[in-house]
Amino acid sequence: MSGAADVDCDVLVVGSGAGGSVAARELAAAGREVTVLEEGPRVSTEDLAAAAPAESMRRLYRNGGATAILGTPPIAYGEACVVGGTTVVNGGLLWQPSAALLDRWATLSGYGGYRDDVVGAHFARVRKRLGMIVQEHGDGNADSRLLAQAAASLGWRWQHPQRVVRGCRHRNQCATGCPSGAKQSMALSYLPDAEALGAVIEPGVRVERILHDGGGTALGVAATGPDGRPVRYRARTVFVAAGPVGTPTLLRRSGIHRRAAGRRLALHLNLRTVARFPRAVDATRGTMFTAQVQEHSALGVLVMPSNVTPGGLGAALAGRDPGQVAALLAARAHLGMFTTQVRVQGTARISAVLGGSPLLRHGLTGADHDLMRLAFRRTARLLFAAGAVELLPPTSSAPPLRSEADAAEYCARVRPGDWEPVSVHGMASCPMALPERGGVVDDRGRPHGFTNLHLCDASVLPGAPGISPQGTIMSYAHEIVARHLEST
Amino acid sequence: MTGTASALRASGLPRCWAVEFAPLRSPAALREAVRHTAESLDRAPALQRWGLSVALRLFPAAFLAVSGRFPRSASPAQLRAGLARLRGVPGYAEVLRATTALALYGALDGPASREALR
Repeated sequence: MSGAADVDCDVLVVGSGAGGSVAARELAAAGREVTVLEEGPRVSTEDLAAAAPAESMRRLYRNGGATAILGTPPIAYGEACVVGGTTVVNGGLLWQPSAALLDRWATLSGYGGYRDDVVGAHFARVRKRLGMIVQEHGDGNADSRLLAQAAASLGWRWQHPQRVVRGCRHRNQCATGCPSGAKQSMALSYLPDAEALGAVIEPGVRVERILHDGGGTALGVAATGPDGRPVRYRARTVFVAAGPVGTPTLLRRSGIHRRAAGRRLALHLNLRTVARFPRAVDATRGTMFTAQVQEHSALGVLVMPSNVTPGGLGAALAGRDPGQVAALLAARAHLGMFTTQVRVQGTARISAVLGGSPLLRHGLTGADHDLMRLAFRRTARLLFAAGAVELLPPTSSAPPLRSEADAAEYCARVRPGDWEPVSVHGMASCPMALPERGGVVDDRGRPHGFTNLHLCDASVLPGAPGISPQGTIMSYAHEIVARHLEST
Repeated sequence: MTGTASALRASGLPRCWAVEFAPLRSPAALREAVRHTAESLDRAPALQRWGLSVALRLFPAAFLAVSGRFPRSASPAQLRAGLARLRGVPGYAEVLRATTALALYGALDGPASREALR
C-alpha cells in the first residue's frame, strides 16, 4: 500500500451499527481517543424525510438491498451500509434474550460469562438509554389489530412489540429510515453521545484489511477513503463491527482465521404472505407493526405484519402473473403483508471472497423445509382467523389460497426451491466459543490468538436468538468492551 | 443515463414492463423504474452484476428464441406471450422476477410517492 496516507489513532472501531456504536460510546466515555470508520454515508433525519423510499433503499442498503445468498431456494439478504448501520433501517425492536437461551449458548460455547445476570444488566442499561417503550396500537395498524384479535380467538400468545422510539408518528417508513427522527437508531443515540465524548466518525471509509504482525497483534487497518485514496490507520486497539457478513469477510481478506471465519452464518428467514381482507385495512397507515404473535416462539417461529408500501407490495408480487399483480395493486387497501420469521437450523457460509466481496451460499436442511411448512400452516390458520379471504403464499407460482385446506395442500406440495424467503438477520459467523467448539473469538471478543483485536457485532453471537437481535448484539458489545476496559 | 440504464433500455425490458404493468405505463413511472433498477444493479456485488448484465444483453435473443420476435418489434400480445414463456425458462424466471421487483418498487415508491407519504 505504497503512497497511503498514515493516520495514528488510539482505538479504531470499524463499523457503526449496533455493536460498533456501543464500542465507540463506551470507549470514548472511558477516555479513549476513538475513531470510527464507516463504509456508508452519513444521513440526517432531514435527508431521510426528503428522500423517497426507493432512493433511501439504494443509498442506505448494502448492494442496494440486493445481496443474494445462493442455494435452494436463493435468499434475498438485506443489511444497511450507513452511519448507524442496520439500526437505521430496522423496526427499532428491542427484545431481551431469555435466560434459557443464554444458558444454552453458555453450554454450547464453553464460556459461562454471558448469562442472564451479566447480559440482562447490560440490556437494562440499553433499554433505559434508548427509551424503550411498548408500542401499542395507534390510529392505523388495522392489520396488527386483526392479527392480535385472531391470536386471542385461537388462544395464542401475542404481544405488543418493544421498541426504541420517542414519539413515533407512524410514518410507516421504518425500513427506509425514520423520517421523523422518532426511532432511536445508533445514528441518533449512541453515536452522537460518542462524538460528544470526543469520538470521531469518518463515513465513506472502506476498510480493506486489518494490518497485523502475524503473531497476534493488530497494527491498524488499510482502508480506502471517501476520495478513493488509500489510507493506513495505525492503532493500539482495533474493534471490528462490520456486520455478520462484513466482519468475517474482513478477517478472511486479512488472513485471520481464514478457514473458520464465515464458515457458519446463522439466519432468521422471513416468509412474506400477502393477505386479502373483505374490508379495507389500509395497511400503509401505521407504524411497522403493533402486534407480534409469539405462540410458536419455542419453535423459533414468530408472526407479525410488516410495513406495507405500494412499492414493497409490488416487489413482493413481482413473480406473479401480471394480470393478478394489477388486480392486487388496485385492491391494495384490502391487503396486508405478513412476515413469518423462522429460525432455521441450516446455515449459510462465505464460500469465497471474489474481488473483495463475499460469495454466500446456504445449506438449508430438510428439517428447515418442514419447519417452514409448519410455520406457514400456522400463519395461514392465524390469518384466516383474522378474517382474510385469500392468501398469497411466499411462492409466486402457487395459486391464491382460500381456506386452511388450500394451505395444507400448498404445504404438502411446496418444494424447498419454491420458497421465496428474505432475511435481515444474520448472526454467529465468528462465534464466541472455545476453539475446539468451533469458536472464532474468545470471551473478550478477540479472535483466538489475538491480544488487541476485538469483534463486537452480530458475528460473535453463538447462534440465532430467534428474536430481533439488536438488544442481544448491544448487550454482548457492552460486555466485550467492559472486559477490555477492565483489563487495560 | 448510466451504462446499465442504457443497457436496460436497449434490452427492450422496459417496454415489456410498460405493456404488462399499468403502474409502469406513464413515462415518469417508467423512468423511475429504469432508474431504480439500473442504479440498484450498479450497486450489486460484481458477480451478480456481471450475471445480470449478461442476461440483459441476451434478453432480446432469448425473447426471439421463445417467441420468434424481438421485444422491440413485438405487439403487446406477442410481448405478453413471449414473457410468459420466458418465465418458464430456468434462470430467466429469476432474472425477470428480480428486475420486475426492482422496477415496481422504483416506480411505486419513487419520488412521486414522496408527497403521499408526508
